[in-house]
Amino acid sequence: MRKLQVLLFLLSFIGCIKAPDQLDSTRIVIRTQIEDNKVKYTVKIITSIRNMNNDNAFFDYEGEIYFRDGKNRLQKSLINPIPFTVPSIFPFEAVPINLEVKAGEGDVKPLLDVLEIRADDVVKNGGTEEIYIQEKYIELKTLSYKNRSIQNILKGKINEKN
Amino acid sequence: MKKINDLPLYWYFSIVTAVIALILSLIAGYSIFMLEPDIKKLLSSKENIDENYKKAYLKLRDPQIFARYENFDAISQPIKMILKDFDKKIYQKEKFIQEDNAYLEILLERRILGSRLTRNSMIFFVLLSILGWGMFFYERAKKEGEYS
Repeated sequence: MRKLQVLLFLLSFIGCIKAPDQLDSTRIVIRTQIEDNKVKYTVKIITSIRNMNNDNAFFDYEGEIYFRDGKNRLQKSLINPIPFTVPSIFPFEAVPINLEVKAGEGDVKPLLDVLEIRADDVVKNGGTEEIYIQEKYIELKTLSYKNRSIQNILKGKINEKN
Repeated sequence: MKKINDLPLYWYFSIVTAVIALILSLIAGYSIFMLEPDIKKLLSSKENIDENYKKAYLKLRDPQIFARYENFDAISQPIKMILKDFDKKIYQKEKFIQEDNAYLEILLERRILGSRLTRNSMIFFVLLSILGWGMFFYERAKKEGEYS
């Protein structure tokens, strides 16, 4: 019985699927706008996620982007976390993600502090240039996805046509 | 000093290496004699290019066990692009054209390299097995000589 358990444990690694666990080349751009005497921020995130599997495709991928201070996640706010969905990620594909979130000063300030950007400068300049976010300040969390074998997908498409 | 009986050691060594050689021969044989000629025939076709290339790609998409589509070195990095593009091509029901032949040949080359590696590994284990059997029969003859 013990040998069977060990064998099953080892076999479980054969079909292992690696979900995307990091974002590639993440940049943010912050724009400011004055509305009702209040500063409104628009945070635009430009990034991508990659499917590192060679034989499984992901469909209806749902994830969240968290900002971190290097050690821990920043406090919850309108920009933390930022949810997103991707309809499909094929093997070896990097899918671009472009997100835009409107938030107030209280939501954006912790992020500006981490990036060592003064809020006053952002407001004065109407926003920031594109800022590259290092991996230690950003985190990807996978919520759910469906995966299918690429072989089955391709066979299905070819037979569909026939 | 106690004399160790080597016979069971040589026996099991020879059997195990022979079994491994047999398994590798089946894997290599399937690819070299069945799959690769099939794929080559599909890729050399001049008619029904779309249909034949798709069939060939489907066969190539299932990699040879010792040449899987992972752990790419610098030279084989383009294979990732080929797989990504052709997966999408079929998914989006685009047609294969004659020019796609070059890329399919690259995938075939990877499969061929894998099957040749398997064949060479099989030869290695066959030689090990022959060595084991040689030692087994030599030791057995030596023991029989001692007892007679």
